[in-house]
Amino acid sequence: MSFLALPHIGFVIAAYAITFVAVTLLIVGIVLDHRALRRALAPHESEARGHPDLDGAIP
Amino acid sequence: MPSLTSLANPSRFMALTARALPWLAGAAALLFAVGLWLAFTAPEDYQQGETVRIMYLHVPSAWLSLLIYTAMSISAIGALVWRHPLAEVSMKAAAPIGCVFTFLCLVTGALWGKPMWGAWWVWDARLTSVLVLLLIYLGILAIWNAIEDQAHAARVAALATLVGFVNIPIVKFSVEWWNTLHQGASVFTLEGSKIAPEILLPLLVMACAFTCLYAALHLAAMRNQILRRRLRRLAILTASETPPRSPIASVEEGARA
Repeated sequence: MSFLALPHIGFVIAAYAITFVAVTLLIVGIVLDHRALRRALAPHESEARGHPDLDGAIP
Repeated sequence: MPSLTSLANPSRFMALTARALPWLAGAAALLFAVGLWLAFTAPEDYQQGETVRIMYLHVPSAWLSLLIYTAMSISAIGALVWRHPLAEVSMKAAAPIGCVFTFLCLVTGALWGKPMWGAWWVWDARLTSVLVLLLIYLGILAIWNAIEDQAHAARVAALATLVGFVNIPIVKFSVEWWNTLHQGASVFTLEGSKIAPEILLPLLVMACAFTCLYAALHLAAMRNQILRRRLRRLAILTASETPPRSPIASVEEGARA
């Protein structure tokens, strides 16, 4: 019997597909957020370097 | 060996997590590869047939939904009692991840329930309490988004998280306290596991993979929250550096306009 002809295999495929999509969206969301934050921080950080007040803002 | 206090310092946290994240992500990828191979080569269950393979996603998602909420509650105590910024960051970063895994637990459960029980959903104590958990997660996310002052939002979210923790033992023990269609505990019991080793092994490997993935995502999301705070603070500091405009100049500009 082929894999796709197995009983209830549609439910199994749907479960794995939904999990894959949800986990991928979560990972992509976090990675894109990180990139956007790094881009937004770049000009501030070059200004902050060597400045006593602004240096303190960098945790 | 660094002390717990030094690990809780944001700068040290950023440095340590930068080193730990690739290892965690690598471990998660490796465990997923092995887990998925085991999940699809394991024999089918004598009663559930092929649908037992849904359990390799459903059970780890369910465990994570409880684990993440517990981690959020511990962070909430840290945020309320010690007002520690990393505790607030941890609490905020965990909420969307917990929400996704709780959603996955409910969806994969429904996809298993339809062929096995003949229904997508039943108002059983376990299913209902997990649905309540999802609503609590959504409520906490709404609090973070609705309150602009993040310090105030952190206090309200921490209180809501601690109140919502009441639901965690209800989820866990619902199958013992009430007569439920959902099965009772079978992986870890006092008498040992009730699951055949051929099915238990892929389940445990997938649970480890999900846990590594969650740890990596939580750390990455916490790093993002720290960067967001850094950006906000730097923006405020650079704005305060700009010399204030004199009232006379403003009047002159107004007159010209």
